[in-house]
Amino acid sequence: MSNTARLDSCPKCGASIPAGAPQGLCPRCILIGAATATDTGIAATATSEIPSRDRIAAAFPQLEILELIGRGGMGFVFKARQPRLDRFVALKLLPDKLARDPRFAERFNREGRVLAKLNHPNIVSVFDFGSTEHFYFLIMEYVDGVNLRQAMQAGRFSPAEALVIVPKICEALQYAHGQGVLHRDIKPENILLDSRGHVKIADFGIAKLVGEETPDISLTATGAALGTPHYMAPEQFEKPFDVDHRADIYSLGVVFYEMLTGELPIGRFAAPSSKTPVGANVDEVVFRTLEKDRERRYQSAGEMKTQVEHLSEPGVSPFKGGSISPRVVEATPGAHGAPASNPPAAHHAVAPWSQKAIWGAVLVGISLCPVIALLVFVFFVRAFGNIGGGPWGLIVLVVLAALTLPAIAGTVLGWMGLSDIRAHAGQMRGYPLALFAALGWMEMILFTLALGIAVMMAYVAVGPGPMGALLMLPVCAGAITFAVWAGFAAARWGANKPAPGTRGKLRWIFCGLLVCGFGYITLVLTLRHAQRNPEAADPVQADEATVAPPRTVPQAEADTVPRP
Amino acid sequence: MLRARGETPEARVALGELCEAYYQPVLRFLRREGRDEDAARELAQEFFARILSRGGFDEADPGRGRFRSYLLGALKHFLSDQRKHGHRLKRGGGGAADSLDDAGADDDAGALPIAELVSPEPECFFDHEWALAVIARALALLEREFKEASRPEQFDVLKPWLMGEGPAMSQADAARVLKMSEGAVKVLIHRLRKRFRNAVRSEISQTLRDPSLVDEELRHLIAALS
Repeated sequence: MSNTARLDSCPKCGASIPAGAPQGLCPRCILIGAATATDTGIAATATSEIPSRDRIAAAFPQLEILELIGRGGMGFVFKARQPRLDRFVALKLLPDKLARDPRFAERFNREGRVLAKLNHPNIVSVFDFGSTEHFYFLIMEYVDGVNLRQAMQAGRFSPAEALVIVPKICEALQYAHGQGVLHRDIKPENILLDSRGHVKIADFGIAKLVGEETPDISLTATGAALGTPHYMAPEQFEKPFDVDHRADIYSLGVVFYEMLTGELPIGRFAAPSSKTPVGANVDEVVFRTLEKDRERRYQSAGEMKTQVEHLSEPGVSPFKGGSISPRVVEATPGAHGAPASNPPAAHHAVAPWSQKAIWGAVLVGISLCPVIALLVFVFFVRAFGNIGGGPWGLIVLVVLAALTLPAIAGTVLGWMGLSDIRAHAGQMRGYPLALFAALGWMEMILFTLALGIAVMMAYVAVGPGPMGALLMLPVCAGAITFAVWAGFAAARWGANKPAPGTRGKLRWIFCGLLVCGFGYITLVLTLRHAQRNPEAADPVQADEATVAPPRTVPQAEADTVPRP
Repeated sequence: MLRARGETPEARVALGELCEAYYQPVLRFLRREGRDEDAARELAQEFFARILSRGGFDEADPGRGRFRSYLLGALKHFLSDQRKHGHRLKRGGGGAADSLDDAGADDDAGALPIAELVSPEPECFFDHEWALAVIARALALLEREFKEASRPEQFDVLKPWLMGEGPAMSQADAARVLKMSEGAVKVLIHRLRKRFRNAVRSEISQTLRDPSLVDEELRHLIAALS
């Protein structure tokens, strides 16, 4: 036949076809064709397969076919009008070529049945579905507006708008999940915004009834249109037969991230707050929806909705520079996704307590209380009674030695607990306890050290002279600043938070401490001066006693004021 | 390939079929070593006769369950045996390569003809020929099916679309030639592709002990054609 004339070069790859090629066809391209799923050709050839309007009009005499408004792997969508009801509808058609394939037809029927069960203001309703001689079709609610992709391309999204839209989608998902229906292809193209600002989810086309028996491979393996890779949850790739409603939550997280940043969360993605003016509490919600492990995500769309709505509540500003700054929120342990502050009840039920944190806190608490009592007692003893002799020193040593073991054990447990909680990304309770256990003793020692130095300064100030005290001042201030920094750094580490860049604050703390110390030395010197002028001694002494009770008074008093 | 294992008469028959199917790559391989058509044919006959008399390839498994690798390994072994026993003149006839071989030392290097210089890897050549054989068999199967359905012209017209793209003619032209609607042609092409895909896969799976390796083997063959 004339049309089987040998080709010299392959129409696909352009390489010359070797003489020994079977049937005169490019062997490489033909084998590649055999290796690729037959259905991938759909998208490429779709353009030429749009059914003509005349054919559609003939098939649907009850409709006025107006225009083509969309097409995808699952068919074409036309805007149409039902004259009798005087309303617009969206007519979705399966391409006739696919209609002959029972697999596609089955998927189409499934989409219709699943969608028809759903009745929610945020879900595109299905009025009718079925088949004609040439077409499988769905008649759906017509949404006059744009999809989220178009809206994002038009650049009209602020974080505040995203925070309004996402809870609506959550609501629709929660409803559908409640009906046992998964969407499985949440993406901006499937989220419609109508002209009155309503949000509607379209295309439950690949939805699959939860609890359905053995998944039909032929239905899920058709590749082309099933799920859109960037929006798919990890388990949709890894275990496609074991996907549940939490995959939708992940996909919505991707959409949320994209709405906030304009980018997809691929690889090691940045926190939304680094791309757009939102606070760390928004990051937290987004990160939680994008957890690779679905056990760590929000466990229901309703829970996610609550959290996102909470971001917009007065007093919890999601924005930088809002009424509560992100840094303050971050400094509150409860806001680290730890359950202390405000997670919904469902979450409380599933999050376990960190046993290590509890025991660590108990041990540290037990060991710390007597030490504090002892310190206070020793100060008072030294201040008011002169019993600082042999037995007291021994008692102090014995008590301290006895407490070393629980103190060390508690601190170690605290750090282990903190590490566990960190690994669970806030899905484990006991964060404040772990923090207390891990840091209690360290901070205690640091502060005691700093106070000890302060006390020593009092000696130095009255002894060798004020210059020595001034030299020791930065050491003391540095120790306290370090203690503060260590506390916050550990808290951040435990809660998986990035460094907020608050070095500036530490500088101010340090300077403040220097000023305080300077004032303190001046006070001590004044006291000394007052001691030399007996007339002024009484009022100054009374004044000083009210200023800083256990910290400095005893020492200063003991050395500067002669006891009766 | 599963059928071709063991000593039963059935296994013999299955192995015979497989050898017949892949006679061509072996022949081309032998030709490539510088033999003329008749000599290569004779050598191939002897090679297959020996394979069949030995009763299959389950005694050792050099190809890790791939008939292609097994056959190539056996072929190389066979050729080196031939050289060792000095049967070249008797079996292989007096080609240019052979006379060179005789003149030089009696080792493998002497047998390497010019073709070796063009493509240094004999395995690649063999795999390339093997891939062509797989395609040819799958196409022949489809052609036979169309003939049996009394539609040989459909196969002739539509087979270029197996490459992914049609030739210069459009699907509409094809529809005119075949006196069918364009939609029907599209469906036919879709089915043809699917049928071809299945034919290639089943063809390949026959040569594998583990059918789950089909995709891997297919990728290997595509690479061999590059």
